[in-house]
Amino acid sequence: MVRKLALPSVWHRVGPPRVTVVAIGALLIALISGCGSSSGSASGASSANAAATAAGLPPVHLVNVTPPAKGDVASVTWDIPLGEPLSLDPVKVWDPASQTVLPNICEALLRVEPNLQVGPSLATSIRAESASRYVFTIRQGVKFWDGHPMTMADVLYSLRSQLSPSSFYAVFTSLIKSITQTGPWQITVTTKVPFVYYQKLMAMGLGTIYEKAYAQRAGAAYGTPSGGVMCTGPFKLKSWQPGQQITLVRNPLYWDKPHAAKASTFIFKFITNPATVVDGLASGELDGSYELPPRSIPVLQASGAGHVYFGPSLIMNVLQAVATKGPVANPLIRQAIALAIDRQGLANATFNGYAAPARWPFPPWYGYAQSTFRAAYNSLPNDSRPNLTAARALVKRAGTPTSAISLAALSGSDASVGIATEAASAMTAIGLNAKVDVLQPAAYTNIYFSAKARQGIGFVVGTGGGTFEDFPDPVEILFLEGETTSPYNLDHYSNPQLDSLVTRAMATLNPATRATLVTKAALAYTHGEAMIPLVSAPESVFLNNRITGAPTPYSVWNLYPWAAAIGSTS
Amino acid sequence: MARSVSISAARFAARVVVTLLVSSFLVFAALYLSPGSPLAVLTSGHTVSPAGLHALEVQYHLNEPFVQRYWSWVTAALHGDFGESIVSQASVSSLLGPRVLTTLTLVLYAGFVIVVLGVLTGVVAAVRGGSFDVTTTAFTTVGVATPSFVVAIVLITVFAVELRWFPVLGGGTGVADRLWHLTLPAIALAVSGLAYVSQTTRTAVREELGSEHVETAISRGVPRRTVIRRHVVRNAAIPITTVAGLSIASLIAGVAVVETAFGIDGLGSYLIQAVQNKDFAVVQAISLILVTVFIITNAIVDVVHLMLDPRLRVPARR
Repeated sequence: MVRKLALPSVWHRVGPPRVTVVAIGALLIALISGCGSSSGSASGASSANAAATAAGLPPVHLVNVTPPAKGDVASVTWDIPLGEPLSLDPVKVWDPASQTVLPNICEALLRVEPNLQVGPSLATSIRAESASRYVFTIRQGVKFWDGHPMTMADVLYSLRSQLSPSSFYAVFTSLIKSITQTGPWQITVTTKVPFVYYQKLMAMGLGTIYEKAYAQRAGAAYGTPSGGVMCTGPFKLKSWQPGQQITLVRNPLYWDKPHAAKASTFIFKFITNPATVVDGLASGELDGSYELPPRSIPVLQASGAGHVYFGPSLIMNVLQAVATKGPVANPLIRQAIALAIDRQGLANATFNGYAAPARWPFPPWYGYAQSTFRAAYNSLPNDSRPNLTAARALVKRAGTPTSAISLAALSGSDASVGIATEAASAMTAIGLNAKVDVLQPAAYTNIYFSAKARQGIGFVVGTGGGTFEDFPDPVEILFLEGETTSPYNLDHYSNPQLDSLVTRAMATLNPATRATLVTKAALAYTHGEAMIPLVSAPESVFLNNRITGAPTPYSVWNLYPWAAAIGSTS
Repeated sequence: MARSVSISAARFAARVVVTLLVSSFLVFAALYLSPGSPLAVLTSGHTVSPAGLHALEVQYHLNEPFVQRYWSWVTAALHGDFGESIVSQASVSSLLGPRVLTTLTLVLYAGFVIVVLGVLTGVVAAVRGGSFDVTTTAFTTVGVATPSFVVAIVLITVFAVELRWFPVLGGGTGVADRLWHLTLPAIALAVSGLAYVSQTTRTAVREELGSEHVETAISRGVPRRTVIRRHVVRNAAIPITTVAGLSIASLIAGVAVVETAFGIDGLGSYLIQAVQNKDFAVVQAISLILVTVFIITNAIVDVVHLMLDPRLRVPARR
């Protein structure tokens, strides 16, 4: 799951966590053949570009990995534009800044590869005996940084620590029935209801393994600058100076030799101010960063200090309806707004051209059954330019409501405010009463977890988006926002047909059958316009001339030891 | 005499305490009333179960009434316990320690630039006149009006990114490295105060130059250097110190902007983050520090006035 912290910057998107269902068949195949290699680059890039063309993305060259590193490098200084991690304890908090650092030092049972497929990590394989029963084979011979071997006791302790009822993951871990050791190196997990995407969770916080003895000794300080962590990853945590930087050094005991760290030292800085980050990258004081602000990309490309690369992004830019009554609750009004927005204009103005109009609110990347999903996407009308006549007709049919519709945007985010402004002007053009409310981060994030904070607000505009997936599968968003009973379904959108399709999909192991169910649900959700799709934008990464090798896709830099792949260009 | 000194010292201490209490109350109230909740940061924006939310609210006393929360903060603070940051759960004193040093260095560096360069340019402009005077006036007029953020951007672009004479970001480690990193920020911070002090100095010195006692001294053959030092500058010092003191005290406000622009981890940029996160304990502690520094700076200016002007030392007769 990806948590997003609302901070004043162009990069931030806020929303509840999403998890995705993965096909067990595809997973097994990926596990058996993939074996943790980033070999997906060639096929990944071509499938990415094919997806880009199919998705109508701008002529930006998309890759899954930047050119591979040729050798080692002494030191890399990287910026986290989202700020400083709150904690490195996967139980306590899982904010995006922590997620940028954590996968390079700590590992989970599974990992997400640069081609967006889920592969083995500390588990060598996963077998689904049914949609509610999963068997993991744990890797032997793995050592923690202090030299102690990783044992089943450590694995069980780490997994079970996530089951605490006050844990942030309680929404998901409450679905777990039992975690038991069923063999010398085997763990079986059962869920209370069929829950195919549980396996994906094992690539994220819920599946992270750390040393039991160390964690117990550190107690509440585990994961803090003073307590540190004890894990198995390609880097080890050397020091964390609060407010200044986090320093990692190469782990010589790392089990996965092909993914060994190419840098001896990897330093993370926490510069959030966009202008300072751009100056730092252009002057060479910072070697790289993900999540570049769209307006800075031409400046960085012209600076000559390095290169900008683009990759698939699992973030979508949408207008998320949060009002349960008033004009926004009327489907006719939402359809009218959807028709009135100038998506191509939005891509050109707010995103500097680095975005493409979207036909549905799901990222145009699919981890399985690509042709099924693409066919469904292409069946939707291409609404990249507004149709004001049709929109005005719908507004008349709905009785031309006069009450104000508020669009909540995040202060400090160019993208968020730009989207809200364009949407408000589109709504005014068709006869609706729209206004933009720019909110400070704490107030803005409140909207997602307080019904009181949502009163009076019609739509939320996510910063740079509003929707993101952790894995390329629309069912994640459908499960979390579309289902009637989900706590994340903020506007109480209810479609019983969609609910039943999603429940059946969660119990279906066969990928082809599941894709058919998910596609039907996705189309139904799109027609309901509870989440009005706007544009999809690629992920961007800047690499100084002297380094290369980083993977590009959003979500990979949360769930894959990406920093280990960065080395020298020559 | 001793008694009157101790009475004024006691009065001063009382004034400080009252000022700190009132300002801490106002800051706490303002943060309390502003929209949003620190839970947003803690939950990183995702939906937590109602039980989970309630547990967090209890842990951080977020549902207690305002007066009760303020009172617990005051009583703890009087014992030297400034609480914990809600966001990072570390003690506030440990979080502020390193940042105080950085910000203090920056403010003192900028203050030094303001006083030394400001007085120097003002005196030379007034004494020499001519083209130097005209140029200085032009620069100071622009300098007074230019906000520190604009200066920061120009300095970074020219001296850091293009010429590479200075680093773009960070506060540096070690004395020499720190001074090198803080030079551009100090200049950005100092520009408008420097311009103001320079103009005031020039005006005050010119006034003194035209006064009778200075004319008398010159006609008596006292060396020009001595005249300027003993008769002119010393007498012009009172308005100059007032303005210099005010400028340095107002640096406290500008520090947040400059630190953010240069990516420096100091009290100013940390204060901005803490306010956005509604991290009460941190905001209170930093505000107290800033208010105290402001009070001390003004007190120093008052003492300097007493030293410079003997007329102020004698209490007025009734």
